[in-house]
Order: sequence, then structure tokens, then C-alpha cells
Amino acid sequence: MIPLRILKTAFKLAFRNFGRRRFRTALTLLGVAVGIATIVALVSVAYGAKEQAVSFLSETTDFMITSKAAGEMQAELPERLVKQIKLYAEVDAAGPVLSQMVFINGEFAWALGITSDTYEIIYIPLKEGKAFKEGDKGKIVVGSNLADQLKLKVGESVRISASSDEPGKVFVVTGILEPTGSIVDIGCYMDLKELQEIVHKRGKISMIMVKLRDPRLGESFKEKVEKRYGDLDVVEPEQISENVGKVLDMLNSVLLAIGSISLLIGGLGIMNTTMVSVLERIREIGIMKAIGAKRSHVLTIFLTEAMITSFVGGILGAIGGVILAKIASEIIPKMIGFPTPYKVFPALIFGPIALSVLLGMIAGFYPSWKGANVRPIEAIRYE
Amino acid sequence: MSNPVVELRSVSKIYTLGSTEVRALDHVSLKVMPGEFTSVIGPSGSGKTTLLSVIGCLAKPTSGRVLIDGVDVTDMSEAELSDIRCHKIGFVFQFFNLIPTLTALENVELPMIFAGKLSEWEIRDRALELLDLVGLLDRADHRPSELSGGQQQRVAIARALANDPALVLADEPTGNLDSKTGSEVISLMEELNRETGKTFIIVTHDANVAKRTRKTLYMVDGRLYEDPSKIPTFGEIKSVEDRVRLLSELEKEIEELASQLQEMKTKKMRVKELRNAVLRVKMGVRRIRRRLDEI
Repeated sequence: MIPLRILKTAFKLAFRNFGRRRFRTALTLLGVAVGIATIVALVSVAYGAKEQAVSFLSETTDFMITSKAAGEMQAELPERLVKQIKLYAEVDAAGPVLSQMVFINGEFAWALGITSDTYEIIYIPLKEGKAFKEGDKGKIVVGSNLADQLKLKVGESVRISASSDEPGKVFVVTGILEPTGSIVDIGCYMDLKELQEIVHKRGKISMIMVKLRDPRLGESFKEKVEKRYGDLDVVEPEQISENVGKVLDMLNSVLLAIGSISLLIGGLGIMNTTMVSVLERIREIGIMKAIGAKRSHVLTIFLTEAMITSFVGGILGAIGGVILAKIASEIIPKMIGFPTPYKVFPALIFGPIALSVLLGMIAGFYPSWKGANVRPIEAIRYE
Repeated sequence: MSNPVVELRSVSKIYTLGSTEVRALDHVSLKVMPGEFTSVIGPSGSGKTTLLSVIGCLAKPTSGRVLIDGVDVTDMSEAELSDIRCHKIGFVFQFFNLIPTLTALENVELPMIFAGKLSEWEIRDRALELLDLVGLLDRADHRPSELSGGQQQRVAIARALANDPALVLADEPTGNLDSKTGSEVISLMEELNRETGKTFIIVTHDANVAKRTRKTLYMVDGRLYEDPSKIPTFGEIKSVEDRVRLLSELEKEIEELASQLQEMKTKKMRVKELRNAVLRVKMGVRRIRRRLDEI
């Protein structure tokens, strides 16, 4: 065990040496902080996106029926399928959804064509204006995020088109929805028929939202439908969130690899700084050993320096990472029209800081060990 | 009678520099008793510093035994040696060698922190006491860079005494000081030797320093002589051949001395070189005088 007094001395020496070499210390800190910040920001945004994906839907919807043919949102089903699904005894309600990316006043946005059945299932409380009603021609209800993003107010007119070179159609915003913290906040809701017309997909829908009479009937319902219609996927919203999660996880591992590389570079920075520090103070090491310092004492002194650097770098990095995530969550939606929330939780802050200290320990060990093994007689002669 | 503080038994230290072997210590035997105030004098390269580092457990001898305070340290591990250095030996160096980032007080505390025996307040108390002893209590919070050379050396002496060692080793303690300050530092050591009874071994090439110690050992070519008259080539002369040889050697010595004086007159030298040259001349003169006595 290293006595407390040695640690205290090590801290004292470390801080005074930082004070003597502010610029070098700052550079090392920066190296570590950048690596940690990258990791924190990436994880924060990725978690936020994953959490948000379908959290609201899973509360209200039991199943979502989509086509096996393509990805979750783009696949198309015939509208008449809704009637057939409604015939199942287990089904309480079933509503079609056509999900489509459109241009609202020239901005890329997500539109959902729904019916009153659908609205009842996914019911989203209204913040202001009037609620959605089937057959309301030329009217839309928008999610809170989208309203913020496009600065829409109740009563305002917008032009919606399938592509930027089509004239499209003018709609009036009749209602703005309460924020739910989920994916529904970024949508614009309109009558199914209207959307089908705008995007030229008459009689087509993307999915069917299903509410069962009794959630316990889920298994048998899923089995029956999938047996009857081989090309349909009957999934619970949680499953979708899992799928989204998988994609995000993959994205995450790519981003994490980038973060790890920057962290590795930070580690090399610590190693380099510690090595320089050892070489510079080799005479000091010799003196300390001559007056009775043990190997472990010298090791402690230099390792402490490396670990303080990495600890402080980790803290700065964590703070920087959260700021970075916040900035990203404001900038990315403007670029891709999709909200990118970020999430901050204790493990996201303390994990990377611990990682950073560990990194400092590993990176600092070799040079410190070299220093600890300096032979005093050689070190003192060192001029 | 108590154990000698330092005992060397036929210690040799050989450095290998490339293909050449340098015999820095050549079968040196030595006993230093507690409370002695001893100097080791010799020209540069005579092996003084090697002698000091062997006694100070900073270097291991190639052969022979080293006993510190009655304990054989020859075969000790690096960790055990650092323990010996910590508790039994205090070092004073030519270049003061204080830790630049620590204050005078913290420098004196450092060996006690490494020793890990006293509490924080005991350490602080003792460090202040030691600074008082060397007359630098008012400079306790100054960094080495804010102290003069003499003050730094006094802090170093206080540091050397921190763990109450049996032995203080000083390697050219006045080498980097002007003669007045150097003399003060030696006076301080004398005083500490008298008052605390600590054993001091001072390595120097300054005859003025050596004069101040109670006992002087002479180091020539890796050999240690207590009695300068025993330095070889002063050996008893038995035959005519011996006398002839001695006379021719004397002649050589005188020639060498003359050339050295010539060199000193003509060549530009730095202070340190000049000092060495003067020392060499002095030792040459002494050798010649002894030789003449013999003849």
C-alpha cells in the first residue's frame, strides 16, 4: 500500500509541475478531453435516439402490421387489407397509416395519412387548435417538434408536395399536438385520402395499427395473421424499437470506433508527456532515490501525475461531450429533418471519466516504471 | 567499542568503458568510527566519487564487502539498499540537488515522508527544527531558486540529517561555492559533527577543506591511504638501483611539474581547470618534497 503522505506529496509535486508547464499540460488535457468528449457525445445522441424511437407508440398500440417486402416505413400495403384485419375477433380497432416524406413549404418533413380509427388508437393529446377529424380536407395537425422546427402556428397555411418541383396543395394548420418525447412529435397528420393524393399512392398504406380487445390474445392473433398472409409482418412496437436499436447500435459501434481512436491518441499524448516529464526530471528522481525514495514512491509520483491529467481531461471531456451532444441535437434535425434528442445519465458521465483515468494509468505506467527504475547514481550525474 | 559506521573490506570497483577497464577502486579497506569527521582528498579521477557512491549504497562494488553501521550491505537488493540510504545515510551533493518545485521546508521533509515513520506533524516539527539548526528558519517557504548557493547547501545539509542517519556523506560540498561560503558550510558541518556526534565523510579535492577535518584520507589511482607517506614510490629504499630509479622518477616529476607550470602560464583555463591544475602542482610539489626527504 502506498502511504497517504506519499500520495499527498505526489499530488503536490504533480500540481506544481503542471504549474511550471502549463502549456504542455493544457495540450495533454485537450488530447484526452477531445477523445472523451467524442465518446460522450456519440453515446448520448445514440441513446437518445434509441429511447425516443417508439416509446410513445408502445403505450397505445398492441401491434403494427407491415409488409415483409421492405423497410419499416416505406413498404406498401393495399388499403383494403384494413377491413380484413378488422374482421378478426381479437381486434378491437385497426387503423391504416401512410407514412411518407414530403415537403412542407419546401422543407423536408414526415407526413402521416391517417383515419379516425388510427387517431383513436395512437391518440395524441392536443396542445392547441382542433383535433384531427377524418375527411377534413385541406387541414393538418402537426406534432410539437415539427411545429417548432417550421415555426408553424394554428391557422397558418402551408404548401405540401411530394417533391420540390411539384406544386402540391395548400393546407391549413388546425391543431398542434402536445409533446410526447417520441417519434410522433415530428410528424404532420392529415386525412389518409389527402396524403395518398399528394404523393400519388391511391389505395396504398404503409402499415396498420392494431389494438386488441385483450392483450393476452396477442400470440394467437399474430400467429393467425402471419399464417394467412405470408407477406405480412406483425410486430409489437417494442420490436420495432429493437430493430431501430440494432441499426443505431451498428451506427454506434462505428462512432465508438472513431471515439476510441481519438481516445487512443489522447492516451499516447499522456504517455508522451509522462515520458518527457520523467526524462526531464531524471535528476530529481536520482536525488529522491538517493535520499531514500523507493521504486514504488517514484512510480506513485509519476503515475499520479498521469492520472490527474487523465481525470481532469475526463471531466472536461464529459462536460464538452454533453455540450457537443446538445449542439448536435440542435443542428442535425435542421439537416436531416429528424429530431435527434440526446440523453444524459450518470453512467454516461462517470463511465468515460473512469475510462479516462484507466487510460491515464495504462498510458502512464510504462514511462513511470522507467522512471522508477532509474539508477540514482546515473541520474545524479545526468547534467 | 562500538561498530565502525563504515567498513570497507578490500573493495574494488571496476568500470568497463568499451574495451578498457577502469579500476576506480583498487582493494580499498577502510574503517570509519562513529563521530569521526573525515575528508577524502584526491585529484579528479582518483576514485573519490566512486568511493562515496559505494559507501552511500548508490553503487555496488565489483568485489569486497561493504558494511554500514555493522550491517553487510554488499548483497542487498535495490529495495533494501534504498531503505539503508533512507535511514542510515544522508547525502550532500556538489550541486545541492534540492527538488526545485518544493520549498526549503518541503525538501527537508521529503526523506521523512519516504521513510514513513513519523506523523505529518512530527515531520513538520522536525523539519523546522533542522532548518533552525542550519540557520534558515526564516527561509522555510522559499523555493531553491530563491536561495543563494550557500543557503541551498545548508538546506541540503538539513535534509541529509532528516532521518537521523548514522552517517553524512558529502560529495564536493564546497565545489560550487565561493571560498567564503564554502568555508561557512564546512563550519556548519563541523558544528553539527560536534553537537550531534554524526559521522561525516567529505570528499573534496580542495586541500583547504581537507585541512579542516580531523582525519584526512588520500585517494590516489583508486587506492586509499591514511598516511600520505605510504603512498607508493615513497617505499623504503634499499639499494643503489632503487635510489637511481627514485632519482630518475624525481627528475620526471620535476619535469612534469615544470611543464604543468608552463601550461598554466600560457594556456587559458577555466576556474575549475585552473583549480585542478593548482591541485596537481601542489600534490606534485608534495611528492617531490617527500621524495627528497627519502633521499
